[in-house]
Amino acid sequence: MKTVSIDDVAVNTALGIDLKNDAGSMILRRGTLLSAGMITRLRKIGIKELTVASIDSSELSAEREDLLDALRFRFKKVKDSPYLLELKRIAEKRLSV
Amino acid sequence: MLAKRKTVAKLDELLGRLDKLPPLPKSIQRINQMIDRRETTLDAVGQEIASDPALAIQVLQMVNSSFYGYAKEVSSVKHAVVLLGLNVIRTLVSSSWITSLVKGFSLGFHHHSLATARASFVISRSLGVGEPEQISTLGLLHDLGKVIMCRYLPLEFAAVTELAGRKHICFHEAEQRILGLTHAAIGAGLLVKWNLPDRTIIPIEYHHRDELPKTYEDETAVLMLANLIVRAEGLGYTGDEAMPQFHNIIAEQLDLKVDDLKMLSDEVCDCNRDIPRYIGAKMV
Repeated sequence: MKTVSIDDVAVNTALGIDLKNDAGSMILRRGTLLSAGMITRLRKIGIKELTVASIDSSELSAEREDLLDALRFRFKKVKDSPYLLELKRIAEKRLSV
Repeated sequence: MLAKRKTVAKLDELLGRLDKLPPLPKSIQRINQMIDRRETTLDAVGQEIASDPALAIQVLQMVNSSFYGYAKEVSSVKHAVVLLGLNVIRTLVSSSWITSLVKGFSLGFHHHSLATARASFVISRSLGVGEPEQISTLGLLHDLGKVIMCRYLPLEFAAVTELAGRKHICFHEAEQRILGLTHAAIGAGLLVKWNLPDRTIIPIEYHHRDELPKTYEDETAVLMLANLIVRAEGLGYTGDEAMPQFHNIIAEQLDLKVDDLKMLSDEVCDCNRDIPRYIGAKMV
């Protein structure tokens, strides 16, 4: 587990510990995969840092590399469309973090 | 004009060869006919669907999919009909049968169809364009022509797949070179035969073209964008490995800026996270 700034939390990262508010009420359970919407809402309620699960297993890295290779292959011929290049950048970032 | 006539003749010839294709089941035909009649009530359509338990379950499963976002579970078909309206119900009822064809085709393809349906829904809702429920049915059906081709024109399908892979081009580009028409035209041609409404047929027919139709332009542009985002994110499998072109007409029609794509892509990925579990596959 590691504690990171909420600005550095990637979509689909698993929450490492239960997240509770100041009154002790549960906000999100440990293990929840954080969606983009969740991260935005947490930021809005003033959460600055999150403890997330470490996901450095070699299996996951290999799968991610395969997905990145497939992504780059899909976009191999895309050279000059700003919209497609942006979609590639977004998908690449989602897989890379 | 001559080229268009040739394309129509080719489509008729190909559709004519689909003689093994089963017709829409009688219960679905009956519901579609009811919806076509002016005097039909929502109650009557709900009752007709409810009288076919398998169909009723499928309609309830679809309306309760997380992407429609209804706060409470919809437990009666009558309620589903009221919520969605007759046009959407007609497409969903026909889709329920077509989906059974898609499921048998490939899990990856089923994943792509569902993901595009959900993407169409969230894009329509986020941009305030069209009716999300209606537009989502377009995503579900947009690649129907591929399923039909694979199942009923296997030699042509194999040749198209081989060419698309060898040249690293899109499936529809390979289809155009080999068949002179695309799965979009085949799927639309079939939907015409099954009497689905123009608002469903036209966007599907145009979803790979570099122009928008004269009607249902918004719906077509949303479907095109949904397909591109789903493919960029690698959600499901479409039979080819190359990204389709982004036609500027999409941006013009939807008043879409490059910077808008991050929010839309995030929403599309969010609403699709449960699909592998939904279709019973770990990776597709």
